[in-house]
Amino acid sequence: MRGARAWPLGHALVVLVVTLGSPPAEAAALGVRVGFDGAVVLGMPVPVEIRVPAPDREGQAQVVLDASALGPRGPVTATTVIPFEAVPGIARVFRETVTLLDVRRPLRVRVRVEGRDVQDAAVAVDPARVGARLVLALSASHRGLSVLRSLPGRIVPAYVHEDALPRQWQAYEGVGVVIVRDLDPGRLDGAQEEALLTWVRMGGHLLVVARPDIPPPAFLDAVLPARTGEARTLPRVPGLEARYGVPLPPGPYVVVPLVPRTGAVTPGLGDLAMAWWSVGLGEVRMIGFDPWEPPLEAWGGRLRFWAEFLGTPGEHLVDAQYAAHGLRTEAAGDSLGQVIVGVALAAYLTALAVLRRSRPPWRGVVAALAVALVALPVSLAVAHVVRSRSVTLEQVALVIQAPRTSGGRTLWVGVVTVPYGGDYRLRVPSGALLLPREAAGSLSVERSGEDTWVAGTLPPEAPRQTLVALGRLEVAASGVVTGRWLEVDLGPDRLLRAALAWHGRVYPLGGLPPGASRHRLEPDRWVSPEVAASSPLLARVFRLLDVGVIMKATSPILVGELAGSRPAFEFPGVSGRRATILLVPLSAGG
Amino acid sequence: MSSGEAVLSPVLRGDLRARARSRKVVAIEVFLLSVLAFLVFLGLPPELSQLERSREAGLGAALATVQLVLVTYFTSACAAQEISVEGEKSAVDLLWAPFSPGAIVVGKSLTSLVTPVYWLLLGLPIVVLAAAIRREPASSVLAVLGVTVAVAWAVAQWGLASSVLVESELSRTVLHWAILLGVFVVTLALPASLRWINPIVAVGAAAGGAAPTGAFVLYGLLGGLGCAAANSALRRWGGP
Repeated sequence: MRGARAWPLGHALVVLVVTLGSPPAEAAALGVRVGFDGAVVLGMPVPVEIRVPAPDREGQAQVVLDASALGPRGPVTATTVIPFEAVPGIARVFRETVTLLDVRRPLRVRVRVEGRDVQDAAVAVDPARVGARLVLALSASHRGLSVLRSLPGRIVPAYVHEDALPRQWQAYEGVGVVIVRDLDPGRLDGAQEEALLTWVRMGGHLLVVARPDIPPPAFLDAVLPARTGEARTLPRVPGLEARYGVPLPPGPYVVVPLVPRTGAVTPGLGDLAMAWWSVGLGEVRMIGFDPWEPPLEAWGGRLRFWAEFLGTPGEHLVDAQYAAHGLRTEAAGDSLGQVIVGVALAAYLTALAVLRRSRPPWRGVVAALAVALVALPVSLAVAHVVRSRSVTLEQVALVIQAPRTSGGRTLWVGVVTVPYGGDYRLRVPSGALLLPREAAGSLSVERSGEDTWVAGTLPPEAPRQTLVALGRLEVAASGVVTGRWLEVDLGPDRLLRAALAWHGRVYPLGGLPPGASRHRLEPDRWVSPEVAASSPLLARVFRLLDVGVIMKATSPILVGELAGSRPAFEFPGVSGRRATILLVPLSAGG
Repeated sequence: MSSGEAVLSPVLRGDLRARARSRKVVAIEVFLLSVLAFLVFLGLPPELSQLERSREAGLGAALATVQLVLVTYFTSACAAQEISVEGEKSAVDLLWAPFSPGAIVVGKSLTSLVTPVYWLLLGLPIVVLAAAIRREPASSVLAVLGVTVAVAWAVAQWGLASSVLVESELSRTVLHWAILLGVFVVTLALPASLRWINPIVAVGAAAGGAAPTGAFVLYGLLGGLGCAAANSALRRWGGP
C-alpha cells in the first residue's frame, strides 16, 4: 500500500520534470541528414533522413524538400512532398530519396502544418563530399579508404552505420561498391536487407570481408560466393603479392579460408582467400583477409587492390537520354482536335456570311458583331479542348533481365509534351523512383499513399519534360546461343519484333512465343546494325536503344518488345504511345 | 432622324450605310476571316513540330502580320478608292454636297477607323482561339489589335489624301501601292534602332509581349498628317 500511494506522486514528479526539461515542441530543431555520411553523387538519388520534432498542433502536415536544379531559363526547383498527419507530442522520422542536381544551393527542408511553414532547415552539401561514385563501408574502423581519392573518377568513400542504409534499392544508384566489414544484422530491418539484395541483383557491387569468428550476415548468404572456414594465421600471403605485384609487409596475417560455391570464381593463387561471382546484373566478392587490419593497412598494394574491386564503370546497355531522343520524334497530331477547330471555324464563317446578307444591312452588321461576341467564350473553350488533347506522353520502359533472377532492372523514360507550355501531372510507375535528371521547369514529386505523382509547369520556351524513373519489373527470360542454335525461355512473356545482337551483327527473329523455344540461326540472315535499325520490323525497337553500346557487349543479347500491358507513367486523360523493350543477356555455349 | 444618327457625322453615316450593304465589303470580310481561319487551322499543334512559342517566328506573330497587312490594305484601298464601294461617295464628290472639307475629312477618317475596328472585332474569336491555344497573354492580343488599327487608319488617311490629290485612277493606285511599299518595305531598310517603325516589326514585337507605344504614337501622328493633307487638298478643290 505504501508503494501504491507513493507511485502517483512519483509519476507526477516525473511528468513535471520531463515537461519542464523539454523545450517547447516546435522550438526543437529539424534534423536533416543528406547522403551517405554526407557524401552524394550529383544526378543520382541519395537518401535523406528528416527528424521532425513533435509539433504543438495537429492537422494535415507535409514535409517539403526543395532541391535546386538548373533549367533552361535559370534555377528551377525539384520539390518532394511527403504528407503526414501531425499529432501534438509525437515526433516523426521520414526517410526519403531525392536527387540533387545543383549543390551550389542548399537543400531546403520545410515542415508545413495546415498550410503554414512551422519548421525550416537549409542543408548545404560539402563540395568535397560530392563524387562521381561512392564507396560505402560498413566498418567500425573509419580509416584506410582515403587512398581511393588517388583513383581516377572522383571516388568518394563514406563510412556508414546500419541505420544509414536506405530502404529503397534505387538509393544505392550512385554507389560503386558497398563494403560489408562490421555489420550487425540485428540493426537492419527487412526493408534495408531487401534493398541491399535487390540493388546487387539489379547491378550493384558488394564486397564482403570475412573476419575471424564473425560469420557474414545470414541475410547475405544467398548471394555469397563462398562459405567461410576456420581462421588461420599465416606468416605471409604470397598469392596477394603475386596478384597485385607489391611486396607485403612482414606478417603474421590472419586469413579466413573461403570455400567457393559452385559457379564462383577464385584467383587460383593458393592461400589468397578471394572469391566472386555474378548475382543477377551485379557482382559479389568475398575476401578472407582484412585490409583494415595491420599489417595490410600499411601495404603499398592497397591502391591496386581497390582499383581492381572498383574497376571502371561500364557503359549501361540502356541510356535514358538516347531513348528520350528517340521518343521525341514520335510526336503525333490530334485529329479530333483539328476536326473540332475546323468545324468551329467553318460554323463561324458560315454564320457571318449568312447574317451579313440580312436585310436591312444594319441588322446584319449588328448580328455579326453579336455572333462574334458569343464566339469569344466558344473560342476559349475550344482552345482549352485543343490544348488538353494536344498534350502527349510518349514513353518506353527499357528492361534488362537480371540473369538467374525473376526481375529486370527497368528504366522508364517518358517525354511529356505540353504545346506552348502549361501544367502536367502524372503518376510514376508503381515501385519506381523518379530521377529528375533535366528539369525544363520546376517540378514537384508528391507521395500519395502507395502512389507517387510528379507535377510541374512547363514554360512556353521549353514545353517538353523528360521524365526518368528507375525500378524493377517481373521478367524471367533466359537463353543460350550454341553454335547455330538459339535456345530461349521467355517464361510467361511474349516478345514482339525480337532480334539477337552479337559480335557486331544483328539477327532478326520476329515474334517469340512464351516459354521455351529453339531457333536455327542461318548464317546469311545476320545483318549490320544499320540495316537492322532501318528495317520496318526493328526500327521502333532500335531507335530507342544505343545500338553501338549493345554491339560492344561481350555476350549475345536478345532484344525485343514485350507484349501486353506493363506499369508505366500514367497521365489521366492522356493516352500516348508506350513500349516495353526487354534486353536479355544470353550465355554463349559451344 | 434618330438620336443615334444625329450623333454620327452625315459623311460617316453615309459611308457606313454604303459599306454595310456593299457586296464587295462582305466579300472582303469573308476573305479576310477565311485567311485568318485557315492560318489558325494550319497552326494547330503540333504544327511542323514547332511546339515552342518563339518570339521571333511563331505562328502567332505570322497571324498578326497577315491580319495587319490585309486589314491595312483593304482599309486604305477603300479610302483611296482603289476598291470602290458601291454607293459610297468620294471625298471630292462630297464637295458638291453642303459639307465643309473639314467635315468630309473627319467623316471619311472616322469611316477608316470604324471599318478596321469592325473587321478586327469579327476576327477576334479566331485570333483569341489561336492566342489561347498558345497561351499568349490578352495584353499581347490587345497590343497587336491596337497597332493594326493605328497603321491601317494612318495609311488610309494618306490613301484618302491621294484620292483627293490624284484624279487618274491608275496614278492613284500606283501612289497607294507606293505608300504601302514605303510603309511595309522601305522601313525595313532603316537602321536597327529605328526598325520598330516598320509595322510588321512593331506587330511582331507586340505579339511577343512588348508594348509598341512608339509605333502607336508614330502612326497616330502620321494619320493626323494624312488628315491634314487631305483637308488641305480638299480646300484647294474649292471648298469653303
